Amino acid sequence: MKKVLKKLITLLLVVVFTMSMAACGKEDKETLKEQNDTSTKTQETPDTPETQEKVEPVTLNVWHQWSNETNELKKVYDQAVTDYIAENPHVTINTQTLDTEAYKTKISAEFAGNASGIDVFYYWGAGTARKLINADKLLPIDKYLTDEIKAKILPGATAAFEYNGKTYSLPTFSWYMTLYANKDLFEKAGATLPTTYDELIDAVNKLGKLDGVTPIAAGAKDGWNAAFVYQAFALREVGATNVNAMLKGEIPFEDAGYTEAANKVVELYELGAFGKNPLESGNDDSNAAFGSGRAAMRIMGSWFANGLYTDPTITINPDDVVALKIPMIPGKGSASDYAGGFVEAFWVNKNTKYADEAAKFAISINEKVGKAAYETGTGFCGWDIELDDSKLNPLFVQIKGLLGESVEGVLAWDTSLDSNPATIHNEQVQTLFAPNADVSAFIKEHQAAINK
Amino acid sequence: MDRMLGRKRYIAVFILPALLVFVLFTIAPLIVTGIYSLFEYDGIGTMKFLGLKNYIDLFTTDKHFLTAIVNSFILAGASIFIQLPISFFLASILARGVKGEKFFRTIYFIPVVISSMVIGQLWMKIFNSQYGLLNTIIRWFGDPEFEFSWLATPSTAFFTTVIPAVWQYVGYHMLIFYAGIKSIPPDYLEAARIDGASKRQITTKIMIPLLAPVIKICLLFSLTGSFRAFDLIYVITGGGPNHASEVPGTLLYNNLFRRGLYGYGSAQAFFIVIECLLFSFVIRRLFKKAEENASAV
Repeated sequence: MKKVLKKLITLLLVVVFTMSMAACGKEDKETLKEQNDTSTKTQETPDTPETQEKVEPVTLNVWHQWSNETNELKKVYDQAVTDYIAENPHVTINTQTLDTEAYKTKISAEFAGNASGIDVFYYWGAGTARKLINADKLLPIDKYLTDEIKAKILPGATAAFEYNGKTYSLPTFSWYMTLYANKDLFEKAGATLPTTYDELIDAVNKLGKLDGVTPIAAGAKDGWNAAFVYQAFALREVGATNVNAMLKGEIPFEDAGYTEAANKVVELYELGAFGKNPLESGNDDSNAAFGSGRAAMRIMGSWFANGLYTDPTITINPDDVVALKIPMIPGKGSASDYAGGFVEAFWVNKNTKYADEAAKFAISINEKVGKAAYETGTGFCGWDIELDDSKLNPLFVQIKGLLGESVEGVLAWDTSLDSNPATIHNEQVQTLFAPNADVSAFIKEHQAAINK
Repeated sequence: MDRMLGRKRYIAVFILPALLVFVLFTIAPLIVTGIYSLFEYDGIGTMKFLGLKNYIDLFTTDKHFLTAIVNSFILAGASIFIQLPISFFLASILARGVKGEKFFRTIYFIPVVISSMVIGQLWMKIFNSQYGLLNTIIRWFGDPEFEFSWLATPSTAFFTTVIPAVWQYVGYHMLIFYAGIKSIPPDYLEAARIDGASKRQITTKIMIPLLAPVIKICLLFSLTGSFRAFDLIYVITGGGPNHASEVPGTLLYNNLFRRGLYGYGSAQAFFIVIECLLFSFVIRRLFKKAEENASAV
């Protein structure tokens, strides 16, 4: 009896497994059939010239770093993809996202192999993408750049995407490092909006007397925030041309201006410009401090302006915020130098199965994101195309004016340098935001990392 | 069943899946890490053979690695001499059957099940210089202007992170001790009591020797856990300020994923593995005799 029961149970299990597998198989076939149906529909569309040929369905795996639903750039990207699919119905876009740090790690890990799950991806040009270029992981897109496309790109906007005479991507939007100042707090402190370093020191002294107000929210717990402050003064001390030459490895990191810039950060720290413990607050804390009137100034990219109008946690009146250039150091640098430029873009994996489609998509998405980023007041479009200014916020318009007066830009150092010196730079700048900072050690560490 | 287990071929078939998973996900990555550690490699480009240079650099030129090693030993010391005694103390009280035994057992275990990310955020708030609980209490009883930053000051940053690191796993070790104490036959304790042994004597002469295998496990977990500590310290200080609270885990993460030094980072990872294996071996040897005595009872 037991034996019979065992046999029955075994038989039953076999039947159940077989049926479930058959069910799965059926579903797969149905999915496939649906996809084929879509492609058939595409082929039958009469208006487009491609429809005369047989168009294969294409699925592109696209990766980017805007994972938060409230992120303006994510909305911009999603809309751009929707538009692209409407124009290219045989293409399916499968988008994957991760937050910035996890995203960078993921991209590095994927490209340690052949990144078979990535066709197009968002990344930073200049020094950041260099190791991918050196390892021959990216697809040059020169052959896809028609005269019509080339004519639409702003002059000089592709510098961060060109390596060894080849173009690997096209610009989306640029950023501009701005000194944001809360006019209301300046008035309360009786301080003037700083245009020079001496005026900045004066403002810091006066603002520091206001109860509960930090003169400058540095966000130094995040290395790149701390580095922004140093880079701002280094730009003024050394000048954009010299900094760019140093970042490209054409001249060593040895100008006395780099030491002077470090001394200025230390001087400001010792005056209490960044509060008592600047290493305790990161980017988000400092954005919140400025947005709630607990900090009077913030050195940040132009992308920060839009959030002051859209972020529901902001309590200050954004119309009280003034966009200023990085204060000048009398007798040094040029007022037309600025920190910022084009560095972010979508790139194509050289191992993609669909090189043509991926390149076409990357070019298109770069243009669409550039346009939408501008129209939402997030960044400055790298394309000479018709743009709608009607929805720009007043602060962004101010920054646009500042950018209009600028000539030569310097990208953030951590996107220009290779990853090792870039990390050392960010870490070393953080040491200036602590008691007993050793500027000579700071310079030596930089020289050891950069002057190789 | 006995006949089946008697055949070596059947045993091999049963073991094979687990062995495959172990080899594939533990042994193979370890070998690959060992190989990477002999190269200069940025994770993407070409690999350049360096021999043992990465290991030599670890101990000769990398001052942050030395800080990280010292910090991991401090953490291990705190785990062994602070965390485990507290865990044992709590377990011995709970195992005696105090009122609310189950409730306290659950309460003490809660930090173990909470994500390190959450615990990190919680303790960062406690140690915040402006609104943190610690400084608020100090302001109540002492200097009303007190705004010392425990986490942003190099001299205090690491010791401050040790506190939550020790606190987090007290409940974990307590539960292991608790289970060990509960497994001691009550006859032994009762016999000792009848013979006139005091509570202290029962603990030191009966319980601790019988718990030798459990103590060994807790020591192993504490020690290896300290050597490969990462998540909580990464969340709270990220190894900073200026590498003051670095442990080997945070340092190798930085080297692998920020600096793109895959070869060098792999050497650090391989060192941690060797360090853990070495100390596991030492602890096993130290406890060998005590375990034999305990099992002989």
